[in-house]
Amino acid sequence: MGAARKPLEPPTPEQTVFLERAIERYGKATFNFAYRLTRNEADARDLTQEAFIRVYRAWRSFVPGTSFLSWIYRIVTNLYRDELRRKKGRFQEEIPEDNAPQAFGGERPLAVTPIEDYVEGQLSESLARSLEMLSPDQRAVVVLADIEEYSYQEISEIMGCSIGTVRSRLHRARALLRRLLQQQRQQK
Amino acid sequence: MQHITTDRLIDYIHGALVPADDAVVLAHLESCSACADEYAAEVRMSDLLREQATREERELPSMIKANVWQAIREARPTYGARLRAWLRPAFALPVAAVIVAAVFFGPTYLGHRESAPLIDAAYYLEDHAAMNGSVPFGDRSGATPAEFQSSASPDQTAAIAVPLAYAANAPQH
Repeated sequence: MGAARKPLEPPTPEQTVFLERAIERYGKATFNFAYRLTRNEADARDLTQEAFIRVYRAWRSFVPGTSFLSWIYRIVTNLYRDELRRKKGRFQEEIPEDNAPQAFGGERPLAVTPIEDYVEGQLSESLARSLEMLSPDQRAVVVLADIEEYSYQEISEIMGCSIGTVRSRLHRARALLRRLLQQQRQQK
Repeated sequence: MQHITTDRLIDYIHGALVPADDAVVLAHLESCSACADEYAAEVRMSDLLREQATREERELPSMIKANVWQAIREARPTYGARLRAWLRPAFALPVAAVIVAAVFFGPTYLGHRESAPLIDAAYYLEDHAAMNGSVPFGDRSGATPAEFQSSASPDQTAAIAVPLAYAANAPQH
C-alpha cells in the first residue's frame, strides 16, 4: 500500500481543488475509520493515503449530493480487503463456532453485563483487545453500525454485501465481543 | 412469556425493524424486565464502542496529505494523457495533414513501384524462353541456371534473379 499502482494523470485545476477539499474535510474521519478497521496506525496511514489517491483518480465518478464519507469508506473497506487478500492469500472470514445467534424462549439467563465490573481503564484495554480479535468484516460492520451509526442499508452499500449479511455479521460480532469481554474479565 | 432474542434487540437498537415489529419490541420491553436488562446491556455495548472510538480518535498525520500529492506529482502520465497531449491542435493538424497526404498519394506511388517490375520481369522471361525454344542452337540453349549466372555480370545477375524466381513458380503452359 501507499504507492500508486497505476500511472496518474497530471491534475486539472478542478481535480486539485476536489482533492484538497476532500482531504481537508474528510481526511481525519477517513484516517480514524482506517485506524478502527486496521487497529494499527501505520496501516491506517497507508490505507488513508491510498484511498485519497483513488479519490483523485476517480473523482469524476463521485456523484454530487451523495455522501462523500460513504464513498470513501467504501474505498477504504475495499482497499483493506484487497490488502488482506494480498498479505494472507485470502480474506479472513472468521466465524467462531460458538458464536451462533442467541435465541432463548424460556427462562432468560440473568442479563450478564461483565462490562459493569470493569474498572474504566481495564475496560478500554479489554475492549480494544476484543475488537482486534474480530474478523476484519465483523470489525468493519461494528464500526459502521455502532460508531459511525450507519443504517444496515448504508452498510450493505459500503461493504458491497446484502443487508442480511450485514445483520448476521453484526449479531455475531456483538455476541463475540460480549463473550470476549467476559472471558477477559474472568482471567483477571 | 416469549422473550425477544438478542439479535432482534440489536436490530431494534439500530433502527432496523419495520414499524410494526418495532412497536412490538417496545411494548415487550415495558413489561419484561429480563428483556429490558438484555436491552440495556446491548445499549451499553454500543455506548462503550462509541466511547472507545472517542478515546482512540487521532488527528490526521500531516504526512498523508504531503505523500498523496507527492505520489501524484511523481507518477508518470497515463497512455490516455499522452494521447490527449498528441491530439492538441499544434500537433494534431500537421500529423493529420501527413496522414491525409499518405492516404491520397500512397497507393499510386507504392503501386507503381511494386507492380511494374513484376510485370516487366514476367514479360521478358516468357519472351526469352520463347526465343530459346525456337532457336535450338542458341547461345543459351541448355544452359543451367548456375552457368547462366556465372557468365553474367553482377548487375545482370541481380536483374535476372527475379525472373528466374518467377519462372520457378510460374504455372506451366
